[in-house]
Amino acid sequence: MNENLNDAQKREKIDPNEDNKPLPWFITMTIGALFMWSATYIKETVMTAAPEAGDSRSEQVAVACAGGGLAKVAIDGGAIFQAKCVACHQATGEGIAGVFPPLAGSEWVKGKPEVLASILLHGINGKIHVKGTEYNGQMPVFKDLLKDDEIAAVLTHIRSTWGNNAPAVDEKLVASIRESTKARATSYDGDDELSKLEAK
Amino acid sequence: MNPSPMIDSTSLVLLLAFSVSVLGLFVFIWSMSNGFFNTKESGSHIIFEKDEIGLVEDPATSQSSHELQDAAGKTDASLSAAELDDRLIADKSSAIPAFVCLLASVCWLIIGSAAAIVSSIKLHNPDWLVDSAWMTFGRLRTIHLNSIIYGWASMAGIGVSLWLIPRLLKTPLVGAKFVYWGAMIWHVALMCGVTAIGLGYTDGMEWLEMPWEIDIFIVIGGALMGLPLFLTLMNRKVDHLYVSVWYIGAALIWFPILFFVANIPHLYFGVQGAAMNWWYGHNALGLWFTPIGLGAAYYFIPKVLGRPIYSYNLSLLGFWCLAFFYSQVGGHHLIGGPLPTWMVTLSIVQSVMMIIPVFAVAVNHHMTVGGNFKAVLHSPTLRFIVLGSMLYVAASIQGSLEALRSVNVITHFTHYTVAHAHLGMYGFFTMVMFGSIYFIMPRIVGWEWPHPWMISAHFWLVSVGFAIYFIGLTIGGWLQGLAMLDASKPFIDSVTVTLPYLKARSVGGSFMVLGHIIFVVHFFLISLRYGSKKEPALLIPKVNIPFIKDAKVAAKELKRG
Repeated sequence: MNENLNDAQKREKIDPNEDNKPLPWFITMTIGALFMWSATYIKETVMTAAPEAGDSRSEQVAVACAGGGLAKVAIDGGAIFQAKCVACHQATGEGIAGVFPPLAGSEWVKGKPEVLASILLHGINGKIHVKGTEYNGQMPVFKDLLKDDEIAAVLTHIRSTWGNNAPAVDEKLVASIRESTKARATSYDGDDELSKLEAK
Repeated sequence: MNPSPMIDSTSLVLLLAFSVSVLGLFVFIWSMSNGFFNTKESGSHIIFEKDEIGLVEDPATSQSSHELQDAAGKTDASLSAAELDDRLIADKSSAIPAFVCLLASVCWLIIGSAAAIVSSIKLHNPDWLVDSAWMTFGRLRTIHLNSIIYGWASMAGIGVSLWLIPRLLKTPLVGAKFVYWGAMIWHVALMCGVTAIGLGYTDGMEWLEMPWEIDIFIVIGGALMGLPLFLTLMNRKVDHLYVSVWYIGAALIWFPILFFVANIPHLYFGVQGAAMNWWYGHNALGLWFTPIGLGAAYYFIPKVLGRPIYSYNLSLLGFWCLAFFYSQVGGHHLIGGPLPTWMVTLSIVQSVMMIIPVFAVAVNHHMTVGGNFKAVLHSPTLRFIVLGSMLYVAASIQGSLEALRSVNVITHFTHYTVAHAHLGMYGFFTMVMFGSIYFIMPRIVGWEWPHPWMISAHFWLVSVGFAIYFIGLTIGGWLQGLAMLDASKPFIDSVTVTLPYLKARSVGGSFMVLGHIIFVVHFFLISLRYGSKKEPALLIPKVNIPFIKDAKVAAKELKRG
């Protein structure tokens, strides 16, 4: 009988089973030690903050919650620059010679914040001179893409990076420019129009 | 309200719930081990003959162990012809279904490995192969993950389970045809899923990338493949369920629930989505691959050595603690994230408590192998599985430590985590599957492995390759974490510091891929019954020392009888 068994099946052992040895003492000790550690860990973890504050933000967030909600998070102008501007103006702020104007050392960037905010809100479509070089490209319109506080943050960023040292731009200023240029439907026509603003 | 209470109310509730549940768990385990659930001591010896203990299986070609082998053969035939018949019938019933799954799994292993090595090289040569969208890192790495998880690992796991369950239950597999349908549906769905990922369609969560429309078919296919195992379980001839059956049976219940719940569309948003994502991601590892891997290890280690598992009580402890602690572990992926503190804290505590089942399994396996470690040199099955079991312990302990906030703050978002994930999925699970397949295939096809050197080459390539991979990435990941925490350093420093380690990973990874190619070629050779009929494949053919301490004694006794 059992001719059908192949060699591998013939030579093997009957299937395994368990002996009935008791738990070794060190296992029991380990269980006890881990349980005590866990209980202590739960007890020592501060969980007073509101659950929606997230994990381990207990102290700072608890303070913010007591003040009526989470503190407003500062907007990262650098991150907005990375997301929206870096493709043309480059991480160095130098732009691309002859194609995209530089921001580093640019008289427009360091100039009147009102003009800079206007450019960001409505864009440029025409010839513009930056640091003595003429550029003839297109600056996109951001009024529908960025909010006032975001525009203020990114302007503050470019005015204080790459050696630029102009004062920060306030959210309210951006809001007022947005309001005063509300009727505008086209981009600025380069130097011609912007120099007038700058001179105002 | 007391301005400085001893303990805040959230902590108190959590602490009480945790204590009560742990107490409940141990009352349950205590009562099981005392037979309150009708598990008599005799039950644990129901199929084990006294003279069987101490005999070896795989390492049996040497001059001196030939007699032992003959004796062993006689033992089986004379001691229990009925049991041999059971085994024959069981193996016959499961051979083709198991083979279908294993064949599919090794094909996916090659696809997944190819995607892996290309992804790895891309991390230090980012401009390589970027011309088509599907070859970019984001998609190729995801293709790697999905083909390995749902193609290689799940298929190998189901194949091994299909082969083990009829044996363990001494019952022929019931409903094999469901497996064919299931495997077919699963694979068509998986191919669609991987293609969809290549084309850029994804559900956008790790481990759950395949679009949910395709997941429906994965659920159906998986259910069809799992069904025969339940049918077999219901028709079983044995009273006592061996520990491997618990693990495999539980995995087959857990995984469909996990996969189904996690893939329900339009149900989870934002923070819930993240919590569900890691509940699924970590449980797929812990409640699907881990129990199948452990089930296989619990069968093959004592099987090859011919020794009983050391302690039934340890098996019980290991199994129920896994079942109990694991399901809440996933939250440690979101330490510092938007989840409530109590939820993350509970997951950290449960992660640390996982040391208990791991320790139980480790001691149980160690005491079973104890004194017979030399057998590892000879038996391919044992070599892979013992290494896998050791790395299971390593991966689990490392995981418990990584869950601690103080460690996690460094390792989170770094390659260290990637190395850890591979220690579990590769070092443990894949190694155990390799070992299992080396045992199972000769029984399925009635043929010995044609080239022992290929097994040896496979073992050394994947072991050395994985060592380079793991050590490299672990160091690189740690340095990356430290660099990210150092506010005085620009972010890019944390990237450049990893470069030499990423290259080391590609080198180690190439070794692993080469090992897989050798393994798969060998798999096809044995499937085609290549070469002439041979002795069993052993890694060191000439052995003259009796490396199993009881073997001689047992053989003598048998001869006398």
